[in-house]
Amino acid sequence: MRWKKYILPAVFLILLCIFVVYPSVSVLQESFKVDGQLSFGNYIDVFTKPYLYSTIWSSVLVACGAAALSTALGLIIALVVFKTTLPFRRLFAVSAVLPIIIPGFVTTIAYIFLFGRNGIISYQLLGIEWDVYSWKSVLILQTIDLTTTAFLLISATMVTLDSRLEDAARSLGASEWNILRTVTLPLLRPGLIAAALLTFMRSIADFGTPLIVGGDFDTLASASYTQLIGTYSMEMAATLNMVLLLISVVAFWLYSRGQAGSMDVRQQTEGVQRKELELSRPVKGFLWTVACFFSVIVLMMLVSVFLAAFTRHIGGDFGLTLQHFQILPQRGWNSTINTLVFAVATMAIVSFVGIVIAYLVTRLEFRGRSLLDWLTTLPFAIPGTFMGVGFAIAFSKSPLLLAGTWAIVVACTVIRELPLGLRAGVSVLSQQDYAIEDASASLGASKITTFFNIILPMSRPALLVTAAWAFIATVQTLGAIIFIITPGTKLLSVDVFEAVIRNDWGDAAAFSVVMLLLAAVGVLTIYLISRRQATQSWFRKLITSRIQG
Amino acid sequence: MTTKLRWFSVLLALVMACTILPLTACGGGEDKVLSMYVAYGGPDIIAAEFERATGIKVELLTMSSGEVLTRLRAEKENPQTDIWFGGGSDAFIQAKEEGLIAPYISPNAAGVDAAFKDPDGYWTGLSLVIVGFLVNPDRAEAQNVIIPENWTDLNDSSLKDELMASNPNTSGTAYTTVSGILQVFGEDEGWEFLDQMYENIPFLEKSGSAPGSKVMAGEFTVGIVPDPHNLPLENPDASLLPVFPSDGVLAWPSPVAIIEGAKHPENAKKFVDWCLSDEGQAVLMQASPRVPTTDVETIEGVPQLSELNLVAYDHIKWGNERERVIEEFNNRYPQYQ
Repeated sequence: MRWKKYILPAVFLILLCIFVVYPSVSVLQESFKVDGQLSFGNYIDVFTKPYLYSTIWSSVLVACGAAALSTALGLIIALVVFKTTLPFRRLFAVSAVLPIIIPGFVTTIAYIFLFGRNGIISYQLLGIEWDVYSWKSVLILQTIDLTTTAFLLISATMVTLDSRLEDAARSLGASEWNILRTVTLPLLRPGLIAAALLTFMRSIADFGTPLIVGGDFDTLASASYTQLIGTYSMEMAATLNMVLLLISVVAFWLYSRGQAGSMDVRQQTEGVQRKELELSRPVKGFLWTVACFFSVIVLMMLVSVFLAAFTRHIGGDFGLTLQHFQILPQRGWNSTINTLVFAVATMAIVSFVGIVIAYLVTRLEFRGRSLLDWLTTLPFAIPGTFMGVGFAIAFSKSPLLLAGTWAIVVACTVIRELPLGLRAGVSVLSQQDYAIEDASASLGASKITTFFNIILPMSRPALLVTAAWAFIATVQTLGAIIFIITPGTKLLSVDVFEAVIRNDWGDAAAFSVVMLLLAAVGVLTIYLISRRQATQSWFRKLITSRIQG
Repeated sequence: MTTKLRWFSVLLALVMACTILPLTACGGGEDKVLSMYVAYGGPDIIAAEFERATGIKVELLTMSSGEVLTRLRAEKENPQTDIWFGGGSDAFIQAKEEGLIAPYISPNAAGVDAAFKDPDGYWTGLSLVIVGFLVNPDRAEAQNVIIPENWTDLNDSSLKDELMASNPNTSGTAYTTVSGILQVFGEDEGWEFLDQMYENIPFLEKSGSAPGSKVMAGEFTVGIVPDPHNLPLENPDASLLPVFPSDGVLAWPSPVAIIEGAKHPENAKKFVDWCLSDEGQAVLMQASPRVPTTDVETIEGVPQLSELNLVAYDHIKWGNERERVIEEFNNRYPQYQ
C-alpha cells in the first residue's frame, strides 16, 4: 500500500522530465556542438562577433527600458485609479487591462497603420518622418504591452495597502505629496520590484516585436529566430537561447526571492480600508494626463486593428472592404478550429492538472515533493523561444519522434501555462481549512473521493481563473510553438505572424480580429460560468495576483 | 454540485483523450489530404481549386524558400510535408543535393522548356519569376527621389533610405538579385556595386514579397521585388509603377517538388500533374499572374518573355554556388544575418 501514493507524483515527474528537462538539456547539448563536435566555439562566437554580441546588450537595454517605462506607467495608472477620484478612472483601468487580449505582434499592425513611415497620424496628419523600424518602436510597443502586467501587479499591492499608515503620517502633519513619497511608494515597493522584474523577463523573451518593427535591430530572441530560420544554425540558435535563459533565470531568481520576503506583510493587511490621497492639482493633473494619454493610445490601437481589417490597403486606398475576410473560408477555418481545440484542451488540462499537483504538494508528504513543485514552476522562467527550440531539437528525432502531432503542440502550451495553474491551486488550497478534508477522511472516504468531492469544488474559483488565463495565453502563443508548427497543426497566431512577415497587413488584421474575438468570447464564457458572487470576487483577486501568463 | 463536478472531470478526461487520439489513429490507406510548404502567390485560391478538381484537401504553411529549406533539413528524419510549392530554384537545387526532395517526372512536364526543369525530374518549373523594381510615384514625388530605370540607378544618393529589398538568407528573390548582379557585373565589381546598393537600404525584409507591400503602403519609394507587375494588377487604383530594368531583367523558374519520404506520395504526384495541366496552369495564372513556363495564355498586364531584356541568368550554376555566395554575403553584411 505504501508505494501507491508515489504513483501519481511519479507519473507527473516523468512527464515533466520528458517535456521540461529533456528539451532544456537538448538545447544545452546543441549549444556546445560545432559541426557535430564538442566545442565552446558557439559561445566564443557570441562574445567576439560584433553582431551577435550586440544582441545581448540590445536585449538587456531594451528590456530594462521597457521594464522601467511600463512599471512607471503601471504605477501612475494604478495611482489614478485607486488613489484619486479623478474622472474616467474606470476607463483608464479598462484600457490598461485591455492589451491582455491583444498580443504584442498584433499591436504592431495598428502601430504601423498609425505611426509608420506613411502612418495616418505620423505622416499624413503631422508630416513627421522618423526611423520607425528601429529599437525605438520595439521599446514603445513593448512598453504598451507590458504596462498591463505592471498595472495588475502594482494594483494588487495597492488595494491591500494599509491606509492607517498614511493616516498616521497625515495626522503628524505630512503633506499629501510627502505621504505619497515617504509612505505609499515605499509600501508599494514589493509590487514595483515584482512588476519591474516580470516585465523585464517578458520583454527579453519577446521575439515578434523586434522582428517586425525592429528593422536591423535584433535582440537575442529575434536573432535566435533568424539564425534558425535564415541560416539554419540550430547550434547558434541554441547558444543564443542559453544566454537568454541565463538572463531570464537571474531575473526570476530575484523575483521569487523578493516575493518570499514580502508575503507576510501583505497577508496581515488584508481587509483594511483603502483611502484616496488628496494630492495637489499639478500632481493630479500630471498623473491624469499620462493615464489619459496611455488610454487613448491603447484604444486607438485596438480600433485600428479593426479598421485595418476592413481597409482596402493601408497607406494607399483607405476604402472599406470585406475582401480580407475572404481568406478565412478559403483556408477552410483550419487554423481557427485548431486554435479553439488546442486552447480548450490546454485550458482543461492546465486547470485540472494544476489543482492535482497543487493538492499533491500542499497535502501529501512524499519524497520529491519540492522537486515536483520546482519542475512545474520552472517553465515560467524559460523564454518562449528557448522552449520552442528545445522542443524542435528534442522531438524531431528518435526516440521521441513527436514532431507534427497535435500532442506536441498541446504538450508545449500545457507546460508553458502549468506554473500558473499550480500557483492558483496552491493559493486556494493553502488557505483552506484542513478540517473538512479530515472529516471526509474520518467518514471513510478515500483520498480520491475526498479530492473529487471536497478539493475540486473548493478550488472552483482557481480552476476557472486558470482556465481563462490558459485559454487566452494559448490563443496568443507564438514564440514557443512557431518552430514546431506543421501545416496540419497550424494556429491563428501563426497565420497572423506569416501575414505580418509578408506585410499583408489586411490579412494579418483580419486574422487578428478573429483571434481577438476568440479570446474575448472564451474569457466571457468562463466569466459567465463563474457568475456566483464568491467566484467572481476570486476571479478579480486572482487576475490581480502575482502570476501573469 | 458534486455530480456536476463528476461530469466535469469526465469531460476533462474526454478532452485529454481526444488530444492524444490523433496520435494513434494514423496508418491505413492514403487519406485525401496533402500537406505543403508554399512560397508562391495566391496559395489559398490554388488549394481551393485543386480540392475542387481532385477532392484532395490541402493543408499549407506559407514561408520564404530559405525557411522551407531549413524546415526540410530539420525534419529529414520524419518529413512533415509532401510538397514544396514555389520559391527560388537555387534552394531546390540545394535540396536535391542534400537528398531532401524526390524525383518525379510528370507526364505533363513535357511542355516545359528543358532550361526550367531538373534533368532528373527532382523539380519542375511552374512559372518564371522575374526580378524588377516596384516604384511608388506619389512617394517619389513627395520625397524628391529619382525613378530608377536600371540597376545602376539604384545607387543614386537620392534613394538613401527609400530603397527596400529582402534578405538572400531567406528570400529567393534576394538571392537571385545578388547572384544576378554578380553575373552581370562580374564577381569583384558586383560586390562593389552591392556594397553601394546596401548603403541605400536601411534594413532587409525576410520575405521577398514584403518590400513590394511596403512600397504599396507608401512607406518606401522603390522595392526590389519579384514580378513587379503583380501588385499593380491586383490593385489597379494604387499608385504603383512596375519597372523592368533596362540593363537586364533577372528571371528564375519557380518549381514544385515532392518531398523525400512524403506521407502522401500519390496525392503529391496528382498535385504536380495538376499544376502542369492546362487547367492547373490557368488557375496558377489567376492566383499569381506570372510569365509561364508552358504555352498557356497570359492575362492582360503580364509581360511576354519576348518583351523583356532577359539576362541569361545561369540559375543552375548559382544554385550550386548558393552556400559560397551566402557566406560571402553574411561576411560582408553581418548586420543582415
